[in-house]
Order: sequence, then structure tokens, then C-alpha cells
Amino acid sequence: MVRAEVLIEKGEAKWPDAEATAYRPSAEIVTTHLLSNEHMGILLAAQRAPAALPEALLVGTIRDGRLRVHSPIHVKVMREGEEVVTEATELNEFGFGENLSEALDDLQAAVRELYWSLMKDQHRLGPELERVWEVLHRKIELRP
Amino acid sequence: MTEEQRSVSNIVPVLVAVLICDVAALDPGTGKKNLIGIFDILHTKSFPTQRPMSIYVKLADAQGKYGIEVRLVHRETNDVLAELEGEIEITSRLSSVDFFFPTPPLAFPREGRYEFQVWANRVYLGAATMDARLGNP
Repeated sequence: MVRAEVLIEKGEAKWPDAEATAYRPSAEIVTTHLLSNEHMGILLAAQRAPAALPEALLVGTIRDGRLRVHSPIHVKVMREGEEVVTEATELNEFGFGENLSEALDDLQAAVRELYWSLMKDQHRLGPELERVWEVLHRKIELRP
Repeated sequence: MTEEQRSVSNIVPVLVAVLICDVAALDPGTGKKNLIGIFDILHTKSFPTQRPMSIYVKLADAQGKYGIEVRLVHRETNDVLAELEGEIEITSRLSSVDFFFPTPPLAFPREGRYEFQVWANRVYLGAATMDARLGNP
């Protein structure tokens, strides 16, 4: 992996292994005037070899402006043939797609639908769906 | 649990915005961020190509210490082509914060759809998509 370290204080970038990549920068990068942001620490950039699918990840959004994820959703990632499958393990919900991004989008849509559906029927749920609603309720809240 | 782990926030921030632009600059007089040349399609005459750019991120409803990562991912292959990392400490949950990552030239090996994914403390918050295309705008 090639990493470029951009230091705020010095406003310069270093590419320690630049010779090892076909995409090395053609000139020294000077970013002095862009980096004086009080919030940011050291910025790192990397170019690296193709990554395998992660086995699991944490998702902090379901892309619904009315809802807020306040505890990350645990997502397992699998490949089934040509398809990528994501599973919200605590909710028993799945997403499918040609790639991870699509499978995540699909899972987020499924969790959104599940939330609104269970919210509507929350007082007449069976034991399993009651458990799922309890998990959803713990992880996702309505925005005020 | 180490001291560092204790100070890392468990509050999941809300990603208000993530934008890709040619240049982001901080106005030293006002502290305002200026974004120049916001885009979501990159035109090039050939691949592979590379382009420096800036990624602007705005977060809300966050408090505590966060490790922020922005990952450039080729959507079809899930290849992570670049990672931008920084640390941020937010003192009040009631205020929003914004910042930007000026990048070195980023490599785009082939035509297609790319994502700049925003992660906070290893939690995925969302992404901005960008298409890389052959040809002129």
C-alpha cells in the first residue's frame, strides 16, 4: 500500500513509496492554504491493492430524514455467486446487489420499510417481531 | 479498556452533507469554507487518470472524539482506491461541524461509478457518488 501523509503544520504531502505505484503524483503537492482547519488532525491518503469484501461492517444511517440511527447496525457481508448479500444480523433483514454499495442500499431500504411497518403495528406483534421491534427501537429513533 | 478507547464517542453522527469539489478553501477572515467547482461527474480523455480534489463533509448531532475516514471506492469492484483520515473532537452536540479533505491526485483506473464513503469511528455514515466518464463535458 502506498500512503501519502499530508501534514497540516507543514502543508505538504509525502509519498514515501511513490515509485511503487502507477498513479504516483506527477509533482509535489502543496496544500498549505487549504489545511488550516482547526478540527482536523493529520490527513492520510492511500492508494492500495483491490480489497476483498469486508466480512462485517457497522452502518450508521438508513437514509431516511425522519429517522436517526443512534446505535450502529451490525451488518454481515457475504458473496453468493455473482451477488453480494448484506445481513443486518440482529434484525434478520437482508439486502442484495451486484456490489457492496448496492447491497447496502437495498438493506437500508429494507430496514426503513421494516421500521415503519413495525411501528404501525407495534401493539399487535408476535414474539419474534416484538423482539425485532425492540432492537429497532433501541437502534433507531424518530427525529424530533 | 485504554484511555483512548474510553474517549472515543459512541454517538453516531448525522451526515448532513458530503460534496466533491475542485478546491475547498478556508476564508481566514471569516472562517467560512468556500467550495469551488462542485461536481459529481469527472470527464477525462483516457483511463487511468488522476485528479486532485477536495471532499467537504458536514456532520451534526455528534459529540466527543471521532476518527473520520473518507474512502474512495470503485462501486462495481469494491476496490478501495484511497483513504483520507483525520481526527475530530466535537464539544457540543447542538452545533454542527464541517471540514474538508484536500486530496493528493486521486487515481481513477477505469470508467464507472465511484463513491466517497464517510466513516466515523468505523461506522458507515453515507457516501457521495461520482461517475468517471470518457469524453468532454
